[in-house]
Amino acid sequence: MSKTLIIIPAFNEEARIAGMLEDVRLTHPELDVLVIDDCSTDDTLAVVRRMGVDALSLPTNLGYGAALQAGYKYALQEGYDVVVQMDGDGQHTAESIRPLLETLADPACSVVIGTRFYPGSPYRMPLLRRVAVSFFRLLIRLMTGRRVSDPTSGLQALKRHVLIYYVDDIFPTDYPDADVIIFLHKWGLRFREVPVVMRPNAQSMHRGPRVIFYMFKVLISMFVIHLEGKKAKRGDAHAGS
Amino acid sequence: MLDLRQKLFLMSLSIGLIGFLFLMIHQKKMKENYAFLWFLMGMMFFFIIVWFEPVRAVSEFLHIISPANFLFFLSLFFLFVVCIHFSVMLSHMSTQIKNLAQKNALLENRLRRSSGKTPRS
Repeated sequence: MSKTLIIIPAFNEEARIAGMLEDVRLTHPELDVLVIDDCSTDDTLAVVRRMGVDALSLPTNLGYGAALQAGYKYALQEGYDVVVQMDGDGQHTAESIRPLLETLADPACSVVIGTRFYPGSPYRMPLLRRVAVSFFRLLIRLMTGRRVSDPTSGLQALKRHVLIYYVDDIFPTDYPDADVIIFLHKWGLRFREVPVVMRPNAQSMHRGPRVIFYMFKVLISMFVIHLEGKKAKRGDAHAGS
Repeated sequence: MLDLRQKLFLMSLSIGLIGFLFLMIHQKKMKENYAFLWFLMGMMFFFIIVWFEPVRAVSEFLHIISPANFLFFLSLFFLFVVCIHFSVMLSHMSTQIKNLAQKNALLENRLRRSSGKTPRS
């Protein structure tokens, strides 16, 4: 059986992290969980430790992408075969993990992305973010030829051989979103989308004037990765890609 | 264009700047590679003061009305280059800090696990 780790980056989530961890524990008691505390100024880390969940405590706030990458480094170091990444804000549900893992079991698949956008989905997004998502979808289609319904989903499952790329400095740690999809395409890593249920996030990290900065960063990253072109795969050849 | 008094004043400034850079490096307040561009500026400044003709010639070639305008432009351009240099340095350091912080967290976690303070995942 594959050794699986759930990584959850968290910053100032003392109010929501306990409920989320309890949810995961009840739904998937067989899976290991690691919370990466991005130098929270509240009691997030204390809450996690009180619940007996393993945690990485970053000594300085590095941002979502770098916190995730710390989780990838931990998974690689500890010999995990599969990593599931979830956001610490409670947006992602524990029930979403099983469909991700079932799809990832296909040897032809390296990464599975949970999408909240599918026919009949109850998920609703503010207009500005919907426009941004549509814009990223179009860019991804132009750059990769692939249709991706949820280019900014943080709910993903990936196999060990993908970690070799994700732990490197080449991985886009500033807001890893739509640019990660271009990154996967560039390295020939096959990914699929799976419909999942997500809770609306009332306090997205992408809000206010930060949205403009976020879009700028992701756009630049997407173009730079795209212009670098496709690369030969690294490391050992594993089943799938 | 510059009279002797002006030349001497500007040459002292230029030599003073280069001397100041040496002092900063000697006192370990500045690393040599970050001082490179400033050294270059100081030496170019000294060179222009001593021999102004190339500046006048280039200004005429580029149809710039006054050599002083050309010098202003060069100064601004130089500052842009320095700022880009700093952005590159900062980006590099940002990556170094990120890697160090991640390594620190991983080591701290390993220490906690080995001392039994945290559950094994």
